[in-house]
Amino acid sequence: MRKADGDPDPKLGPVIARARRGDAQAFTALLRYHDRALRGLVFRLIPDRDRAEDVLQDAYLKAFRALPGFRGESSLATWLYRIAYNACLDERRRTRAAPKEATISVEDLRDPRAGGPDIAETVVGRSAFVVALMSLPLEERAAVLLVDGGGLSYADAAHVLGVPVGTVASRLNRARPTLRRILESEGEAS
Amino acid sequence: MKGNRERDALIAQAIAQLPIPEHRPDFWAKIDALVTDEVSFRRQGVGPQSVAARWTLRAAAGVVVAVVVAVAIALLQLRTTGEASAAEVKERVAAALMKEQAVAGEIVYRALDSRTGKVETERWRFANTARGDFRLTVLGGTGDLAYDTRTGVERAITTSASLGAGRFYAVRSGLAPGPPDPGPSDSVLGRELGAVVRALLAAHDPRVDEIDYGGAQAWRVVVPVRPNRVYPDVDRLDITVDQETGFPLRAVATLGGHFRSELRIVDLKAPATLSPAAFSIRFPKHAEVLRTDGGFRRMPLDDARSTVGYSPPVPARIPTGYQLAEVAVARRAPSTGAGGANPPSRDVAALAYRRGFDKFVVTSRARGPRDERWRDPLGIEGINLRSTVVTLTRGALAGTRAQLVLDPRVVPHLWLVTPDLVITVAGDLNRSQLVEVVESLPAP
Repeated sequence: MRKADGDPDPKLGPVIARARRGDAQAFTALLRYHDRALRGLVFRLIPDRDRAEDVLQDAYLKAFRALPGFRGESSLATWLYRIAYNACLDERRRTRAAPKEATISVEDLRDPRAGGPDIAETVVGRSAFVVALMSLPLEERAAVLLVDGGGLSYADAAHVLGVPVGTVASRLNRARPTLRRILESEGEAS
Repeated sequence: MKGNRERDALIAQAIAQLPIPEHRPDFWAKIDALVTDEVSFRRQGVGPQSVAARWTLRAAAGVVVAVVVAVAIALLQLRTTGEASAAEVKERVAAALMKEQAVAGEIVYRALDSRTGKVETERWRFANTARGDFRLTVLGGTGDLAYDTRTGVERAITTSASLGAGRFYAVRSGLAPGPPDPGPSDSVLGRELGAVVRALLAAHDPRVDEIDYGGAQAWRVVVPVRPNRVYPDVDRLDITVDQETGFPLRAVATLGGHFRSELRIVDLKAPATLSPAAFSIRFPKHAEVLRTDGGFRRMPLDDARSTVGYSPPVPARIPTGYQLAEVAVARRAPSTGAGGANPPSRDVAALAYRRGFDKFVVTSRARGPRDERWRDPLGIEGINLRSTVVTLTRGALAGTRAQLVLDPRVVPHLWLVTPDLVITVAGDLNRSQLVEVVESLPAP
């Protein structure tokens, strides 16, 4: 996510102000600006693409409703990450209580859209990595995606995840060795 | 970049190489529409916290409350296997329903589109009074439906495939207060919601488990359903009910283990006040409006006899708390039954009883020649409803055989044919209550 780790992009300041006043166009412009990063997080936390889309829709709507209360104590990016992550947690709570609609697999990451990249094929050399990533507990996966994938500091990741910085560190310490082992073995094989 | 020194470069590179799926083609259009709606609500002074104000603008779906009510009733009949006892469920649910006079909230509905194989999502705001008024508004799209119990008139704005992108305005008047005759529309949500509720009512061995649902204690109920013979649709329903309020929060329908639809009620509120204006929609001045009249007219019970030519049967015994809320009569009404297979309905009297959100309707219609063949007035094409024959043992109708229908697909009901009338009792009643009401009817 752009400028996820620090102060908001100064160019966005006026747009954020307009969005806070209820300017729908300004808000959706902000969403589009941050969407790719948020999509990257949510689609990897919720592998069922339909559910992931719904979670994002939920999160974006919640963000718009909550935007007047955004006080700029974190960057807008971090704030949006937090809303998206909480929406993922809500979704997990719901699906835990109900029959599974999808299972996590590389196949679930396939993009069936005509002309779009086929994720499973694109990551053919990374399938073991993908499987390992997707097999991580959601909280650990989120920490990896935010810090290693999104470039957030531990402190910002802790804000998004709603846990102390030390917890972020311990989650990363648990998650990274497996991922590194796979990547290193792939590197040796190639 | 702050914190970059803590980033694992190898993993970062691997993640960066993973493609990110694109949105559905309509994703941004829906976001734009949802946000625009939200802005519109704000301009009208309807913020997320302004529950009372929200009433005046965005209201409820009768079908939703029908679900709430029916789930509640259904729960009364459950034999529990989890920690929650039937008595506990009954107490909570009854208390929740008795104290609320209105509910409002937001619905998220996801359903598999069998033509495209894609799951489509829609959102509605709803409000509903215990009197039966409701309003249902599609968020981020075109669709607004309001029913005013005082007038028995339903007004709707929607789109029609045949009209292209244009709006379609409709007024349905003369509606019956409830089944088996056509009442307020539940076409938007009705089937799934109704099925959820009815499944509970008809299930002989349901399970109630205690679960954590989004941090709240909830009961989860799973029941089997008979799929439609013609278009197999659903064979299992999974329903989550909030322990605190007794309201259903989520219902998932599956067929052969595959997802079919999901309904979630979010942001459920119990507003203290409401404006009757909430249940009427204004159309543009020159809008072309399709008007239909179901033939039913509201009137005092004492006046009904002169209209239908007989004394509408009034039950002498009804479950505690119920009160006669509406009397509607029609000289002519659409045929009932699966595919409208029954003889034409004439001289119909419908008496609606309410208790909070609970409702049941006692309907009588004149019979024609003796050789007329009548089938279940609430029958559905493609489905063999589970029914049993009950021989009434008490009251003026003692000895009469009646059909008791408790099936997940249809509102619980009991119907019978007398020499002059076809009588139906349908609504939020369990088996013994249905029988008790019918056995207290006077001789026609």
